[in-house]
Amino acid sequence: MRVLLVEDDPILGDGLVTAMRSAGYTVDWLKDGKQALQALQTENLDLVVLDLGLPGLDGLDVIKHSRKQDVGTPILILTARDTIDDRITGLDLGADDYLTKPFDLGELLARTRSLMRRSHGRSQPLLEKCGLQINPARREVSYNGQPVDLSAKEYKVILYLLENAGRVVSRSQLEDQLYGWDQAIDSNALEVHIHNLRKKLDNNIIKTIRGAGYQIPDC
Amino acid sequence: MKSIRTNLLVSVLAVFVGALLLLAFLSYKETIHEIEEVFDAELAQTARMISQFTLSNIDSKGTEETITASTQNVGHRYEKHISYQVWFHNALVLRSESAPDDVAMSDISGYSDVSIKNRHWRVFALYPENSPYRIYTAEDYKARNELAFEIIVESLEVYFWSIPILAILIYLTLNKGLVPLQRISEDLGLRDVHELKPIELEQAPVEMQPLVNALNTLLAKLDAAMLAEKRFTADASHELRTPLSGIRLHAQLALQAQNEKDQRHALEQIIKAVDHNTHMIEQLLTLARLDPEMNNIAVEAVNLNGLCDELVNQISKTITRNHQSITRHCPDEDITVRTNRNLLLTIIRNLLENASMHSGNGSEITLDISREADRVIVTVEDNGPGIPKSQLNMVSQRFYRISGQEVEGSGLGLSIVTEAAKQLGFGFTLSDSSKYPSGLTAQIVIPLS
Repeated sequence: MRVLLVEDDPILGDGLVTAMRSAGYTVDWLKDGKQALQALQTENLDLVVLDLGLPGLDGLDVIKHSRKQDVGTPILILTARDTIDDRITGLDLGADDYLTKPFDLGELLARTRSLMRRSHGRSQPLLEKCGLQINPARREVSYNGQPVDLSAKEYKVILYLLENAGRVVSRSQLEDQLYGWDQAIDSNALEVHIHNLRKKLDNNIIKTIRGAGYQIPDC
Repeated sequence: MKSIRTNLLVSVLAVFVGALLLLAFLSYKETIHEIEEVFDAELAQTARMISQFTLSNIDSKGTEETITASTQNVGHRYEKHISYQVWFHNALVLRSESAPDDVAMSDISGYSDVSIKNRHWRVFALYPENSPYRIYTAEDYKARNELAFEIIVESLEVYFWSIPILAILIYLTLNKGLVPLQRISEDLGLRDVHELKPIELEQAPVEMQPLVNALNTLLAKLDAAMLAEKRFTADASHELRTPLSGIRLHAQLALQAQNEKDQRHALEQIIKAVDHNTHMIEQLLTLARLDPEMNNIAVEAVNLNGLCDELVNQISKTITRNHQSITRHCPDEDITVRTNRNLLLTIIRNLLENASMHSGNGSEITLDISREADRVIVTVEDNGPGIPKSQLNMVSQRFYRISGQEVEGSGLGLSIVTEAAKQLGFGFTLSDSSKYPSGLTAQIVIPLS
């Protein structure tokens, strides 16, 4: 999952990046509202965790402008503004969830998973197809009932493919899932991960669509 | 409590009744005069009538005759009791019952006022030409005045009836005139503390416009003050809760950490966040103590030379940590100002901390205290990136942070300086550095008088 964190406090931001990375998310971190708006408009993101009191542009304005431009990325507001009015305003402007500081890490991560479910139109907490099952809350993968041990990057690839099962996922979409802005993309790495996944699961579970990308086909 | 309505009602009625009384008095005078003229004319007319009868019909020479007034109850209430005497030579030959029976009523021809036996008469004497008759007609002043008064009272009655009617009309008009005032008080009465929008009074009378405007100005000021207060509370809660969230999050991460390195990092972050929060709370408290309604500023003689050394000593640790250098220009002569030492220290220390925090590693900072005629100028200058011109007057707002700035300050330092300088009566300005190619100059002007 590709997450953009917008938080101007260096200590809290650092903690959030660490926490979400160890939860298996690919996290990019911005501290300025204007940059956040630009990233929302141009980047392929699954979720934005947004503080409201930001230098440059207030978080509410970031939401307003991005929603006006039809950016559909789920936005979770993480703020110290805790009045009912603030919550209503934030949600009505187009935010998908609202969490006030101080918060519990477990709750924040649960809410991100819930937002992911909803953004994929899914109500089941478990993802399941053709014998492949993923529990995002526990980051457990099993195939035909047998647990499978995957590396962090392999997990990100299979999760994204399964989330979009039936659809063709492009190479760059998968690379966005794997690498943040500050990480260099290794051109062969994706093929290596796909190869390993096929070996650990089933050779036929991921189909290569030549010139387009990869797909978990209907079974 | 005074009521405009009662006041107006009473004073308008008083003026009106006064005017009415004056009018009634003048009218009374005029009517009396007219009535007397009419009565006099009647006396003359009656005398002439009697003279006609006398000369043509009566031939009772020397004998006296008295005519008793008819007791028949026909007539008019305004009918007058005119008395008369008819004299033939020196003998009274005819008289009305009420007329005196021994003396002639007057000794001059025409009108005269006479008193006979304690009665006052208005007399008209007629001496027909070539005739021995003398004819007197007379009216008792008492009766005459009574009648005149009755007529006048009748005619003035309308004035007195008009008083209650007018009072009611004035009351109703006043009520109508006071409707806008009532509407404003209803509007204000229905509001709660947070409803500070201006009073809208459609077609407000000209006289009420200044009041409405003044009220609206006050409401706007209150609104701005409440908004600022609300924003400050929101900002303060943000600034305090965010590091608290950081502490909590890193504590959770430290508990979950798989290795010592991650755990150590999390714990270090917790200490940083606690320090930051401590600084923030101290700054907030400083700002709160600067609340103009909360304290009286004690003034003492402050030696600026000593202050200068003390400040440089205080800041030197921070300067060394940031690999910066500080140059001080403390005054050569002894300068003493009468002010509050703590507040002055707070001001300059905040400026120095600000310079150190925002000018970056390896920067140069100067502190200059010098006397210039009747004032002392404290200048803190650095060669850091400075502040964009467009944001120079915004940085003193509480919690204002320059966009793109990575530095972790409380966002309150310059607010504290501004507020403290205002309370001590110092000037405070921020400008681009004149000494360095880039950087900020903060200047405090202390008047010596």
